[in-house]
Amino acid sequence: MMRPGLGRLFAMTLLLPGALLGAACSGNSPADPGTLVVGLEANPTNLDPRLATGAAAVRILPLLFNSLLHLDPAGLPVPELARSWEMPSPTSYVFRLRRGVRFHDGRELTSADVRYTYDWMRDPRNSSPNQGALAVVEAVETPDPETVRFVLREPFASFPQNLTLGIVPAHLGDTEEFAEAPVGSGPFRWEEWRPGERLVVRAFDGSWEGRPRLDRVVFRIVANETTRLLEARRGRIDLLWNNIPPYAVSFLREARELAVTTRPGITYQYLGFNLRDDILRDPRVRRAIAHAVDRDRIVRALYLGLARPAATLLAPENWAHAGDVATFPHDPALARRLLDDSGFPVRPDGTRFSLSYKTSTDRQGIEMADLVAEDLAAVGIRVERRSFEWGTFYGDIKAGNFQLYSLRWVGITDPDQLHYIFHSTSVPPAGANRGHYANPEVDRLLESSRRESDPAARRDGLVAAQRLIAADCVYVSLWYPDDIYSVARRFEGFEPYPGGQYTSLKQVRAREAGR
Amino acid sequence: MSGLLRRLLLLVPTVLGVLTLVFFLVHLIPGDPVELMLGETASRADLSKLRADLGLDRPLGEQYARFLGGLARGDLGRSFFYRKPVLAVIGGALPATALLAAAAMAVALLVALPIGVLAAVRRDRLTDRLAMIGSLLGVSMPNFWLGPMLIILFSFRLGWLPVSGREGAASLVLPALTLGTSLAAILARMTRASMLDVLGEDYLRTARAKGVGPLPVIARHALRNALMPVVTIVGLQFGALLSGAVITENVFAWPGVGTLLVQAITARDYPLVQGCVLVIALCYVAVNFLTDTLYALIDPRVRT
Repeated sequence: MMRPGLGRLFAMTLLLPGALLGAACSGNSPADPGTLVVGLEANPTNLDPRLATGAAAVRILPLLFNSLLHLDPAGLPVPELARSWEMPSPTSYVFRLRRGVRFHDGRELTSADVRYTYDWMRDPRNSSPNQGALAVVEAVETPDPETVRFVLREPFASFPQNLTLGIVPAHLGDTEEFAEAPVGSGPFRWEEWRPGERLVVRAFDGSWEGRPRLDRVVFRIVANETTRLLEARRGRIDLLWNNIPPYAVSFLREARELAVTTRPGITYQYLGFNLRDDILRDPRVRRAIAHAVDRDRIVRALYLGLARPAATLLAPENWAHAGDVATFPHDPALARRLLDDSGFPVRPDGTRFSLSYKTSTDRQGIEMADLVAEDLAAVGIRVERRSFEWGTFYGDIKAGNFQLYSLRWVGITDPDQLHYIFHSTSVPPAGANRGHYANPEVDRLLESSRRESDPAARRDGLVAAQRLIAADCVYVSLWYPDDIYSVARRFEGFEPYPGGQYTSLKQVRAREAGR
Repeated sequence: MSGLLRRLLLLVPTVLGVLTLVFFLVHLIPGDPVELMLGETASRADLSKLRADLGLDRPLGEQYARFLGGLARGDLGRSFFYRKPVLAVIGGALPATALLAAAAMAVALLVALPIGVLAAVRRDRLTDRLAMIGSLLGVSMPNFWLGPMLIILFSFRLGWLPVSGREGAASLVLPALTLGTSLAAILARMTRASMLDVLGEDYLRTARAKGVGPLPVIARHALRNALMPVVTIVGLQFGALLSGAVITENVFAWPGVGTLLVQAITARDYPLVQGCVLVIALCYVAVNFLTDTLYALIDPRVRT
């Protein structure tokens, strides 16, 4: 009596891959022409515009929610839910709302919803991340269903930048389901959300802007860079943006179905100094370091040339960009002279002093740190590169626990960020002046620019402040990496927004026939 | 039965020990969840307000007591970042990880047992050599390398399987192969070694002498006795599969507990970290408990 125990096992071993492969073939359905798939590198944790913090969520929210204003591709605030706005006084903004705007559940959006949204974020009990930015608001008033008035505690020229947050329906905003199945008035409505996996939104037929041309947008979360790029090459991801490394451009361009575009970006990469440090408090030392860094070499090596040199936080596209600030071209001889003059001669071991350079575990950040360290070694500065997991690194930077660090400012369109980063009162946690920079003249210029309602005069003040900041060498301004995005050729109409938002998907459409 | 009961009771201090260790370790990592939550624009007052709301301003001992109190009520708290109950967040990710671990284990067993047995029966012949070289390769390939290589071959060049994601049975194939390969290699070696021990035993000669065919001798007499050490490894490894799927999940965009745990640590989402570790620890001890129980079924001598 032979029982086929072993034989059965062998057969199963052979059958398993076959069975799985069989199942595989049924899973590959052709792409739905009205569906666009976006590849995300991170999971949007929260889709409530009052609470969302991560870049992934903030970039998607304009599709689900409307805001009073939005930033156009040039980064300037333009009306959205607001039909018009006026400033009866320097501390008051009055908005007239569009009529006939409906939430995805059919209810009409009124001024009460606007007030509800802003009052909710201002309420400390809700611990909204936007609470700090709205601290300048004294009251939100609604004289009638079409009018909203914001009363400020003091004049604040950049206030409209704070009005780009999505408006939440007052009748749903306090329900438990809202964060999971958000209801807004945007061009797309929520359809499905599997956290960590995918978010699906569907065209909203009742949108006041008209129904979007796409039927659905699927946001797929693919954290692994290699996997994401392979998915795009295979045509299973139609849009990649904000997450294509320069080395991958030629790889993606090999696929004829993909249009890969690079264009000047506004992300600002810099090297930060701790100005309370005994060595780095001397501006000559900081300038020497700036002259020692060979930006061209690093841009060629790390970005394959896909970045342009930076001299100030605000990119040339910004209306307040200062074009004539001090720059520090690569000049090791000058750097050595400056270091000699500031009392740091070369010691017998061939170095002048050591600095620690902190960075995150991001691969590009580490490679950049190593290249900078080589440049500084050439002028006698020994650099100890220390990379930390993000939370630890960020905690250290905020606590002022560093000598040198490198980071980037992403999507800066509001020149008031200069106040947030360089004003002497903006030391963390009040702001991001992590190096403890203090220049009374810069403070004065930045303060008056907040109160200045005339754009030309405001610009002059902001330009003067940028000149001083550059001359003081608070940061080593490095470069603005290019924006790189890849769109499947069967779609047209995609337009990148400076903050990285996917807003333009509302006008993207499938090309007629022939792919 | 009292032996099983004793083992069952021992699980409680084991899990508690793991949780205590994790509780204090996550609080030791530098970085502040409140600052990460409120972003850079938050005022000092907002930060301390939220810290108080979350109970993070209390002494660590008190926070620990609260955590244990909640645990006793089956309440793991709310995730700081998802702003949802921890159990709900983990509940969303656990099935994906369990499916992946089970599939990887199935792949490993279905490949390893026949190969291990075959290698033992054909000892020192070509089949054996090939099997052992193959298993050496299997244990030597790290998941972060094997995963992309499988994708490039099966998805990219051949176009047979999806690159990543979780759509249908097809998308399970490559992650299960990636996660199961090294385990299959270990189990194949284990099975071979264990079979070789057993094949030399007297009772097998007796069985053959009685006229039992070669296949039943192997399947019913030898394999059953050779399985003991293999079951131990399977039990230990299954727990490791659950917690060790992090890299495989990342490569294949597979939304499981491993991915969630990494996210939670990055965000300093203490309740979610503790919840994930609790779930992984529970799975680990449960599987090991089952392994112990399984011994008793396979080998009557273990029933104490």
